[in-house]
Amino acid sequence: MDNILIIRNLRVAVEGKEILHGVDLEVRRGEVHAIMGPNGSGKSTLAAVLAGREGYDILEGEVLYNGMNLLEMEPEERARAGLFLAFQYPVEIPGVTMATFLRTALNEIRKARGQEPLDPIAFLKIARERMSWVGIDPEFLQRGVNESFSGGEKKRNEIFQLLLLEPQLAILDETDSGLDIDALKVVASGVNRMRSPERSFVVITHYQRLLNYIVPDVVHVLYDGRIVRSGGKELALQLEERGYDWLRAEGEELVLPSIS
Amino acid sequence: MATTELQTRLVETFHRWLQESNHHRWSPHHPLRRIALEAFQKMGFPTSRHEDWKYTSLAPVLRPAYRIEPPSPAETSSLLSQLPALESLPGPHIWMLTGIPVVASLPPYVRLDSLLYSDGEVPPWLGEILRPDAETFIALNTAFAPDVATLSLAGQAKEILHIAVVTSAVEEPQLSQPRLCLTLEPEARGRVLLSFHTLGSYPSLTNFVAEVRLAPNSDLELILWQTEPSESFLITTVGAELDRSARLTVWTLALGGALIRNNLYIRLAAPGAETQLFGATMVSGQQIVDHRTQVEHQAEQCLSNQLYKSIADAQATVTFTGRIYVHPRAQKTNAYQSHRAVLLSEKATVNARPQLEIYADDVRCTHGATVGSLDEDALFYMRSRGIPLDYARALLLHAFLSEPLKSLSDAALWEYADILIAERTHLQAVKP
Ligand SMILES: Nc1ncnc2c1ncn2[C@@H]1O[C@H](COP(=O)(O)OP(=O)(O)OP(=O)(O)O)[C@@H](O)[C@H]1O
Ligand SMILES: [Mg+2]
Repeated sequence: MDNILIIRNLRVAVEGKEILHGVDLEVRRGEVHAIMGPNGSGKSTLAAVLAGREGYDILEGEVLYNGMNLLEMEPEERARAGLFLAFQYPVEIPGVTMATFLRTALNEIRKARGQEPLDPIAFLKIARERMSWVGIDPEFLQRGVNESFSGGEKKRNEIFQLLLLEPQLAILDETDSGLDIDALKVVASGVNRMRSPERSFVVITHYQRLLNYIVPDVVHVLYDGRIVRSGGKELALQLEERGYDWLRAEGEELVLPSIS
Repeated sequence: MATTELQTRLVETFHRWLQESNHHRWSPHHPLRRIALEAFQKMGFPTSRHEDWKYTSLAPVLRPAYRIEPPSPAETSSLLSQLPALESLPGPHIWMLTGIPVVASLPPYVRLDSLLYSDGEVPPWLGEILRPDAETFIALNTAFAPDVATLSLAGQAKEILHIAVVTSAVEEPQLSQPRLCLTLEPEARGRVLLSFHTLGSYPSLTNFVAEVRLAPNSDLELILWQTEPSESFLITTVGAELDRSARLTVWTLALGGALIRNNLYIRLAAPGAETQLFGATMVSGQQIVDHRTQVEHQAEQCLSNQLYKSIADAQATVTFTGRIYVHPRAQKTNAYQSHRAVLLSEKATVNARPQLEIYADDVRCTHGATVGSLDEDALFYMRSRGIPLDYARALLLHAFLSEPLKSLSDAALWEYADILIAERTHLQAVKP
């Protein structure tokens, strides 16, 4: 089975308001997909639903991850099955050290992969190595999770976790926003280092710039809760030039007939 | 106020003691004790109509038929063979055995007077910081305390002085009234750990009272260690008066006991005095913990800071009442107070009452009380990394509750506190 992720006609509401109006998406193993779209179009909602956040009503549709019914799995089960979400707004957890948090996470995921848990020393070794890949000081391991990290440090920390946990499908929600150009390159090189025929990425971004560094196989436009256009990497360039407005008419024309 | 059976028995007992005893130093004939008895009779035990006891009912506390007599010398020595081990704590240096002070080993910088067993004098300031007519349990302790342990700390103590307060209820319900007077000499620095324990399975009520005097530039760290799971009742009252530039830090760790009421009365009596009050409380089952703090800014340029955190599960109740009183002459006051609570069950209760009375103009004062549940975003973030829900919860609870104790200066004690909090929040039990 070649598709790691299949989303079919996914309709999702939050607090009674429908946000996703029927999303269809297929991601094959080893591919990088970019999702672009204006503010409020539902990109983070889609990412959150895939990662298993509570508070979303699934009105219709299904999501298959490695052939499993993803929407029936707990968030921690999804993570152990190799799904990873880099948060648009990483959460601060004062008082829980990065070391405790990450070692627990990594060992849970290793357990699910049938690997031995790492003792603290082995963990520190691998954690320090991966931190150096994204330029995070090893002292951060003793700090609270994201506690008082700068915006850029939080984003690097997400990529560090990606490098540490080695997921099969990574969803990156605007990991590039708020980054200076050097940090952007660090993030991109972290992702590129992880690219492999076994691993897939869904990269949510507003900026074509990121896609110069992380070259996508497919670019999708999510507009008002639907994917209204998919294409190659040149679609991102078109969007950069023309914005989203030119898609509206097409989008409505394309999708309207399919909703009741 | 209805006169309870316990009150009647207490008054009768006191009168019997008056007849039986001769006029030794701390006999019931001591004027202070007689004044205290009168005050107790006048005030009686507070009911829930009393403003200070609105949220905590004393009914179950007053019900058992406590023995009022302190242990005889023979009973005290037999108690010595049954003491709890307390291996993870330093010392203990002093035991208070159902109100009777017994020295185990004293560090050189400490002087201890006991009125019963050594030739101690009744400190002339006894009853001045905590006046017997101020509150029922102060009156009761002043009238009935079998002895007064008077401690004086000089110099810069490095080690912790541990006083283990034990109430024995092995054969019958017991009322215990330990009394402590503590002085820090000028420039002295000391750390005192007060841990509370019970022996036996009968109900017990420990009514502990301590008066603390901090001379100029002295610095005291006081730790109240209330961690033993038990069905006992504990009421503590600590009154402290701080002279010029003195510092007092109090940490309270309240995890065990059926009902705990902690009263802290702090008087910042001279310029530059500072107090920091920290509390970590976790209750479950039917437990009740009630903290009452009162910080009185009497002089200029004093600082007070209070941070209390509480977790209440099942049908348990936590109450925090924090009174800050700033006198008109106490200009340039800084006073901060915060109580943060997490409710884990719909039947658990948290009451928080800040009480601010500010009569000076140049005052910086903030206060806040929050009650919430666990941070859902943090839980989801952890779960999205593969961490099981149970463990994510325990990590958050542990982090939340240990924060006020972070500043404990003794690393070993901090680690032990951290372990107890981890146990209490089931961190180990659910560790994957
Ligand atoms: N919990 C919520 N309650 C109410 N409305 C919500 C909630 N979460 C999302 N929405 C709404 O859903 C819509 C889509 O939000 P979402 O965060 O998915 O957009 P986005 O495409 O990620 O936008 P951005 O590019 O600004 O990050 C928005 O209108 C938002 O206000
Ligand atoms: Mg978003």
